[in-house]
Amino acid sequence: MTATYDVISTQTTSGTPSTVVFNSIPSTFTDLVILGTARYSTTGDDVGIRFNSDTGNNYYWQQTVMNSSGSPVSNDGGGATSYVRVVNNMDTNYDTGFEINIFNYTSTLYMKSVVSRWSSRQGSAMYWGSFGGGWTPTQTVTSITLMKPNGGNFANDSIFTLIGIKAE
Amino acid sequence: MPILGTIASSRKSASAGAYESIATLTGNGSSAISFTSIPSTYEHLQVRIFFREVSGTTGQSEWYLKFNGNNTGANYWRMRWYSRGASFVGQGGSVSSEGIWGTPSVRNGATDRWGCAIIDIHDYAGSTYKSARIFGLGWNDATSPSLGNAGGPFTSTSAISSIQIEGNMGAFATGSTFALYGIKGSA
Repeated sequence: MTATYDVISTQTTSGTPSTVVFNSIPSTFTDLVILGTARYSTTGDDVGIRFNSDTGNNYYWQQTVMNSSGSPVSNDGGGATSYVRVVNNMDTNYDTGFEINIFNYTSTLYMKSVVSRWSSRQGSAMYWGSFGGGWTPTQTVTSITLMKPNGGNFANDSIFTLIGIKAE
Repeated sequence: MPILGTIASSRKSASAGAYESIATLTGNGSSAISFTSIPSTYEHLQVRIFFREVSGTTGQSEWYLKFNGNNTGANYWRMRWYSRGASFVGQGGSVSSEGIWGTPSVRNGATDRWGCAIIDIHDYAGSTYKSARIFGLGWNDATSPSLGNAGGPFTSTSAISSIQIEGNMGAFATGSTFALYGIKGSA
């Protein structure tokens, strides 16, 4: 019997990859969660997510970021884009902690809704943020790619844990 | 009287681990969803919802969270922020019989768009006030996601034995799912 909350896979970066990919995701859960901590290697302070290797403009996102030096900043992806942004304001020296939730990932009737939250230190400033958006195709998610929309690489020893949640 | 959501399933057997599925409800044109007879054997609760509405065009709408069928305004204090594009709105410090604010909703006019939310309720069976944290996504229209964080205390010392999720916009569409999970404390 599928456990209600179960680790599917954990990836720890060895070297400085530009992507982290989860393949062959089982279809036995209801929602997916990715928990992790990461830094960037030399550049690229944000993280995007793609599903089933889809690089088309089939994604939308909205963000709100709180920081230690000013008012909240909100913006969106400017309409359809090629990824959902899920993390921002990473640093090369300090780990960013994050949680990414993907709802109803096996549905072949509805889009996939995504929400994420994260906190970071970038230089001397602190950030806390949320993202929300989705992937519009009605396909079961079988793979997830975490990538760097503005270029750059993940640092060595960045950790990504994929978890499945099963509703009975 | 609100029509209760259809019970899709209830927990039939214990699953290993501290995080267990208690019940799953589905939207079926109902305007309110109600989890009842919640066992007091967990430490915390989490509700995960995937939803949209059956009525309305586009634009801001919302849902509310209540406990134990309690409609006493003084029992629900609430705060929230929500954003859409460059717009950010923060509200709070009020009491209302509507219940605790949820996050932005999804009207039927936002074609093929579905919202989601996570509701965390800690120490739900304790003898002190309870508090809910809510985080989620809505859609203003088909190209404009809305994001929100909300929450507040439920100022009743009674254990939570039922949870109501009520929309102010009509009803939850077929395909909407509401999943209740229990998180165990230490053995």
